[in-house]
Amino acid sequence: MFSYTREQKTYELDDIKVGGQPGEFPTLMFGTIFYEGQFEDRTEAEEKGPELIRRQNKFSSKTSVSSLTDVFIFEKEEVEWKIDLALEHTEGFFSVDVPEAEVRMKVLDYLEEKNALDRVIYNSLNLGVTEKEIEKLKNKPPAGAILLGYNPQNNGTQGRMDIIKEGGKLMEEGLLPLAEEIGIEYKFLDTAATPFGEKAGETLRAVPVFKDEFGLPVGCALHNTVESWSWLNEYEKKEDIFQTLDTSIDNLPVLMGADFIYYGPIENASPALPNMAMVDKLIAEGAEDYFGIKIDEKHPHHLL
Amino acid sequence: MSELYPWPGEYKMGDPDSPVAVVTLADKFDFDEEKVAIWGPMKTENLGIEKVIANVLSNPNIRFILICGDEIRGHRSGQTLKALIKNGIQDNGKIREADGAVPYIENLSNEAIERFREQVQVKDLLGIKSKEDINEAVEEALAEDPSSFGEPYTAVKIEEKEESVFEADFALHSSLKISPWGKISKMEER
Repeated sequence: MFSYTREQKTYELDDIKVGGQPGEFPTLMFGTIFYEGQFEDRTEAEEKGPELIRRQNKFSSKTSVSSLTDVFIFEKEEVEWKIDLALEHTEGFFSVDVPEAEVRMKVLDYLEEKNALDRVIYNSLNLGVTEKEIEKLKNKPPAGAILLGYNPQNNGTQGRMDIIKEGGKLMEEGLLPLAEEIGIEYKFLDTAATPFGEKAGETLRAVPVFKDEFGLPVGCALHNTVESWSWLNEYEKKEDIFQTLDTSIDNLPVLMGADFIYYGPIENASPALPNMAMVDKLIAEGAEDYFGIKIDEKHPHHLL
Repeated sequence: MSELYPWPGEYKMGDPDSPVAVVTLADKFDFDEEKVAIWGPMKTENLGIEKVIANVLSNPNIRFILICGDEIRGHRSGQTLKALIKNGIQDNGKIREADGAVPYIENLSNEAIERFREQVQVKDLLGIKSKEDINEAVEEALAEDPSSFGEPYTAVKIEEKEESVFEADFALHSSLKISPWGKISKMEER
């Protein structure tokens, strides 16, 4: 239950408001589609993917917790059909989650071809960005980007902040000034979930630190910490235990003041969104009662 | 060899006198404990590789790294491990000519990395999942019967100490304040 003396930026992505003081707006939840092992092949993905997107939308409508689809793309060959599917079955913004720089560049080309750069949150601008990619981003800037605070040299909170602010000892400039230079309007700061044993707790500590330092929307994808937890290796990824742990770990950054969450597999829209409605409602009550924060009218605080 | 492999990870151990370590990338294979010293998957192109290096260095009998199984999509950790052994790292820790998403070695000294590169040779079976082919490569490595690389080497993890660089307080309660770093204190101490 925090409130910041520093002004907190709010973004309006069509009818989704994200950022601001803790409790002010519902948490923006990103559900990932097309992650490794989700579908057997493209045919199954195209058949079942749209229904999963609709289901996430349904739970957003029911709970008033906002959500966007995060489209995972591994290979260049997947770029066109995955983006086509996202363009057809999502309204407004979606996130493209692409680990490799070469593939990210092809994504930018295709988004430009489809006149859709203004609908995309680029996931992510990170330490692995290449010179060629920066040039392409400057020519074809997406509307938004996740700025990933991953710093393998120092994965404490300070190291994570250094990557965002001035590049640490690894980059010539920080991801935030780089994003500004590129012309990215919506800058989302990701505190970069790390595995247990690699200062995973700093992912949480960095939330209020980033909010206080930068005044921008902050979040993370802590389900990755769950999924890299080796004692869970004996369980299949589709077993309930992963859904339970993925969902419950999302409560922690939001309690620390996070504005957005990558909650993992989009199949988990329920329970992830109803769970977050409950958390948002509780935090909003605290913020309203104690700090006098005006809670947005489209918030589970008023609607559920 | 060192008394223990020093860094935790998702691996199994066989005969410590064997010269072969196997990285199975995205796959999980089992091996004859009498023929392979250590084996397991390797997911990430930074922390995962660091763990492999530390564990291999602790046993100088290991002279071959056999890389097999499906590549980790997005991370390209198999290609990145090969690039590290072939090309080494830049001054900022970035692995030269690596295709991985964030190919950095940051928690090991240059000395440890150079020793690792000298100690092992790669047996490249990247993308190969046939147990027959993989076991054949293990047999070939065993047949080369290399000598130990000498004394075990313990790779110490380099860690930077965290220091607060700015001060900013915000209220937790009328009587308490909490710094963004999580330190809670009484409000009158501001």
